Amino acid sequence: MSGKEKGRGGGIGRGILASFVSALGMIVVPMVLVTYLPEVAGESVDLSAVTELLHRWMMTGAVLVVLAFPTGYFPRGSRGRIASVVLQFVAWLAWFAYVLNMGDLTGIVSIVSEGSEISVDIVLKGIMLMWVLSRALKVLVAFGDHHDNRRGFLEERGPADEEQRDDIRIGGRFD
Amino acid sequence: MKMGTLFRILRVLVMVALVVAVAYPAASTLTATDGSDIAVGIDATYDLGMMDADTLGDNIRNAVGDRTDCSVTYGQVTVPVTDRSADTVAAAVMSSGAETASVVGPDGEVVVQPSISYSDTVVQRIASGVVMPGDLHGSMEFAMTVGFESADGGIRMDCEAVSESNGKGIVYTVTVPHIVMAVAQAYGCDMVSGIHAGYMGLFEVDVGMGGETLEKLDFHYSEVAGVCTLVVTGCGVPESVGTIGGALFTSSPLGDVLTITATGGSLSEVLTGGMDDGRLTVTAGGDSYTMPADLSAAFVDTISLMEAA
Repeated sequence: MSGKEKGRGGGIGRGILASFVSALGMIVVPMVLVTYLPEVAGESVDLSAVTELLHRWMMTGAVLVVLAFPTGYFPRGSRGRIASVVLQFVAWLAWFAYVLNMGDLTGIVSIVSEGSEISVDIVLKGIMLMWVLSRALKVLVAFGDHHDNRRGFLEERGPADEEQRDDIRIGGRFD
Repeated sequence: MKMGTLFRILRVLVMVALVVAVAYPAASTLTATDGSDIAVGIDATYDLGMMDADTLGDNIRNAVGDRTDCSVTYGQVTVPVTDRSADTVAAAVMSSGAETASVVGPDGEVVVQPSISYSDTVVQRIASGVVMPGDLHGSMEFAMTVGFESADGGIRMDCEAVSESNGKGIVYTVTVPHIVMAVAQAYGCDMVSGIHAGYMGLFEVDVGMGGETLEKLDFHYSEVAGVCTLVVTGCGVPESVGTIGGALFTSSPLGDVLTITATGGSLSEVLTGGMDDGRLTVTAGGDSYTMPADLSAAFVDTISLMEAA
């Protein structure tokens, strides 16, 4: 990989970094919550639904951690990068729908105190929509980067590059 | 400008605009400079059409507490009031024929009290609210629910709850028909309540409070010569003679015995037949209340179970 490609990102180090950042949100934070939340909440608070959600979060989040690797590994301008960003977004949407139930966290917490029960239902649809919008705009940024770096990427990699076989230069434009 | 940079700027602008838009009402409340805080309560202004002198006296006492600098304003009249004189003032207010009355402080500001109770022959109504400075009340939903639930969860009768913004906060009103409460107690239901809060569609939180055990009342259901009768004793429904759906009901002078009578089918069948668009109307003593469809259906279900018991 040339120095110019490094300027466009990419490489094993970037891939590991992308996975590490993803793992912070998908594995480390929920693991910390699962460990310490019951201690903080006390015995009267039934957090079984929360811990179940956090376990689901971690188990399925591991897939997203793996999928984060190619988004860092491929340099900007490569088709691998844009494909992995789109794939990661689609997988994230599926994770979001499965783990967070599209923000409908009905029955997430119940508190039992002196024989009486308090149940808490939380619906976070607006916040979740903002989260989806933020992620979708991130994909748009990736497409912008792809557009900006595509020509330079192809010039650096040359015709021997595997991707180049699919690229046809017509009238000075790269498709 | 590079397209990637353009989209980055677009993303930041969109997210910042959204965050500012949703955070502004809450921030305006936290930084309100009129010195007021968020408080649970409602202005002590009473609709006298749904109160008798006793209820008004209780509400005034509730508003005044141990203050000695309050007055009651009704029509053009303002009279000082304390905890001790509340009943006397209430009687004077009711006899004046005024439609509304308010408890005010020394500067003429309307006092805020935790809740106001209304009662007529048919329903009991509790009004309360949340006072919020700033613009938060326009962006926030807040409601309280009250209902009755059987121990096995098979019966759930949710009473009508209405909430609205009044410019200073959110006011909510819960209406409990006397006859529903009596039947719920006879069936052995607990009173359950809940709070619903939401903010600009971003999130909604429902907190359901566990049941408050109510005194179990005795009841007896019989069918004799085509007349179906449900008798509930010890319920305290105001003395009245009225109708619910196609059935008649009477409450004895001391309110101890409630009798619901129907002919031409079982009580639940007659009630179902008397529904208008799925809703039951209770009428007595010149007062009337139409129950929501959910409550009407749950009420009839409860009666059916009592028939079979």
